[in-house]
Parts: sequence; structure tokens; C-alpha cells
Amino acid sequence: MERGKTEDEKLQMFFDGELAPEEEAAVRRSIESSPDGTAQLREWEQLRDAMKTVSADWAGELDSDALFARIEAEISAPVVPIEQPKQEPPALRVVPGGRERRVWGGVATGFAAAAAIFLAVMAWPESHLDPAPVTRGSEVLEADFGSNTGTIFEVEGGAGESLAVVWIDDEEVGLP
Amino acid sequence: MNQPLSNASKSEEASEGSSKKGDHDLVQRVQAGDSAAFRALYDKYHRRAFAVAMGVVKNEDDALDAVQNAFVKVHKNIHKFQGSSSFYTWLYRIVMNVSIDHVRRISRRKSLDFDERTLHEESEVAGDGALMPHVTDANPGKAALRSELGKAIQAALGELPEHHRAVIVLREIEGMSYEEMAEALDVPKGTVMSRLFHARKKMQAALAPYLSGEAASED
Repeated sequence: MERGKTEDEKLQMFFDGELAPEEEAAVRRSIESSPDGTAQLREWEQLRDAMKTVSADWAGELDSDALFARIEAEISAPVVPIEQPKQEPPALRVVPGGRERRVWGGVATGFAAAAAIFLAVMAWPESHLDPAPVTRGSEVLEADFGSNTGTIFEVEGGAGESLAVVWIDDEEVGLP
Repeated sequence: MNQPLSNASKSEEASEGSSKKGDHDLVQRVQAGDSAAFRALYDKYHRRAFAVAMGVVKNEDDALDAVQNAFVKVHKNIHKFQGSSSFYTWLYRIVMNVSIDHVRRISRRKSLDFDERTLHEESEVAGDGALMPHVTDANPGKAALRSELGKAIQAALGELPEHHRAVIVLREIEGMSYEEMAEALDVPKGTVMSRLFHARKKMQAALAPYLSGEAASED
């Protein structure tokens, strides 16, 4: 131990036989004149005796051969590889009109991008466009994207900037 | 003070040296596939391993499982044992880890299945001690006293945090040195000392009615 030992530590180390001989002799001398130290050692000794006595009883009737047989059985048991459940490929099914949906989805995304660009052009530079005063977070424009309808909102971003959010309805015109 | 109250461990050190060498030879033989050597190591340590496990888990069946698992692990991993530490420190480290894992699993299960487990535990604690190995003592009074003390010690150990329980069991039951405990528990020696001090304090408080009299040294 790096730091100096406390009296409790020394006493405990003395009790456990962990002190160097010279330290042990010193502690022995000091506890001879210390009723508290003597009482503490006696209590520890009683605790040790009690635990030793009881633990001897714990193992007293242990059936050693039976336990070894269990160990041997487990050791010699063939190692059965754990079968991993087969990973079934995801079930695919043909969705009627699936291809068309993908095409229309692409078209809708295109419209959304176009609307975003449109709004960005409208908003910059603001001084040139002289926009009508709007309430942030309000719906500002109803848009018709041909086969889709949607709404453009102006909202305030985290830094107070103006952002356009384009909401395109799922309902695609012309699709079931 | 007219008699030295103390340091039992020094007298055991001499025999430990030759014991360690014997263990080393046995380990080498097990590593070479000698099953008789494995049995010899088992014979030498299983009772002590069981006592250590009993100090950590709450009943005999769990302690048997812990010892079984520990020796199976020893057998499986003995080729990794390099001999830088003593075999028994390595073994007790495994026993302690397996036992603590067992206690944790039980407490997790307990929280999932509280009612059923509570009933079972009540029968263990308040029952007739069926799960404790019986003390076959000719003196029924003495046997009863030891049985009562055994229950009190188990209950007191059960109240300790795992790390306190581990040090006091390894020190008082197994007689390990601070150095060996530090190695077995993978903590600094100072931590071992501090934990041991607090564990003793708590055990003294819990067992005060038994330790104040001569109950403990009755036999």
C-alpha cells in the first residue's frame, strides 16, 4: 500500500497475518495495552471460527462421486451444434399495379423537388420579391401538381430561417 | 492479552508451496489429456469450492450447480491456463464468477416470477433446513445450535453486497491471502482490504447475538 496504514487496517492485517514481522511485533505490543483492539480481534476470531465451522458442515455430506459423475457427463457429452433457424428469404409477391405505383412515386418526388426549388426562388432574395406578410407555420400555397395535389407550408427553422415544407397528398390522381 | 489472537494464515503457507507445485504437475497432466489428473484436482478442491459457492449462493442445489459448472469450465479451458497464477486462485475465480452469475440469474428470475419464488425461498429460510446439509452430531442441542448459526450466517451473507460476500468467503472460509483474493477477484489489494473490513463489520452486526456469547466456539 502506498499511503500510510490506518490503525484499523493495521489491526486487520495483523489479524490476517499480512504484516511484515517488524510491523506485526509493533502492532502486537500496541494491542496488549488496548482493550478495544483486543475486543475487536476476539470478535473477528469468533466470526472466523463460526464461518469455518458452518462451512465445514456445508460440505460435510456432499456426494463427491455423484457430483463428479455429473461433471464427467457434461464434459463427455457430444457437442451438438446449435442449429440456426433457416433464414427464409423474404416472401415477395406481385402487387397489382406495383410498377405503376413506383413510377408515380417518382413523379410525386419530382414534383416535391420542383416545388421546393420554386419556393426557394420565391423566398430569395426576400427584399426583391416583396412577399405578402404571412404567419410562420401557416399554409401559404395550395398547389396542383397535375396528378397529385399538395400544400406548401412556410415554417420557421431552428435558426429562425424560413423553410418551405411541401406536403403532397398520398392520393394520386388517376390511381386506384 | 495472554494469547495471540491472530494470523492463522502463516502456518498454512509452508504446505501451500508444495501444494502449488503438485497442482502445477496435475494441471500439466490434465493439459496432456490425463483424466485421472483431472479427478485428482477435483478431489483436492471440490469440497472447498462447494463451501465457497455455498457462501455466495443460497442453497445446496445451486452450490452444486455452481461447482459443476466451474469444473466443466476448468476442463474446457485448462489449455489456456498458463500457470502465471496458482491453479486454486484460478479455480476460485471461476467458482466465484459462476456463483455470482447464478445469484444474478436467480434475482432476475425472481423479479419476473416474484410470487412463486417468494414461496420457495420462504420454505428455504423458515423451513426445516432441508436444503442445508444436515449436521450429524450426537449432541442434539449442539447440532441445533450449529444449524441455527449456519442459517444465521447464510442470512447475514445474503444481506451483503456481492463484492463483500466474495471477499469474506474467500478469506474466512478459504483462508486466501490478500494477494490471492486480489488476483481471484481481479481488484487491487487495497480494495480487498477495504471490502473485507466492511464485510466483517456487517457480519459482526448481523451475528452479534451469536458472537457475543460462546456460541461460535462451542465445539
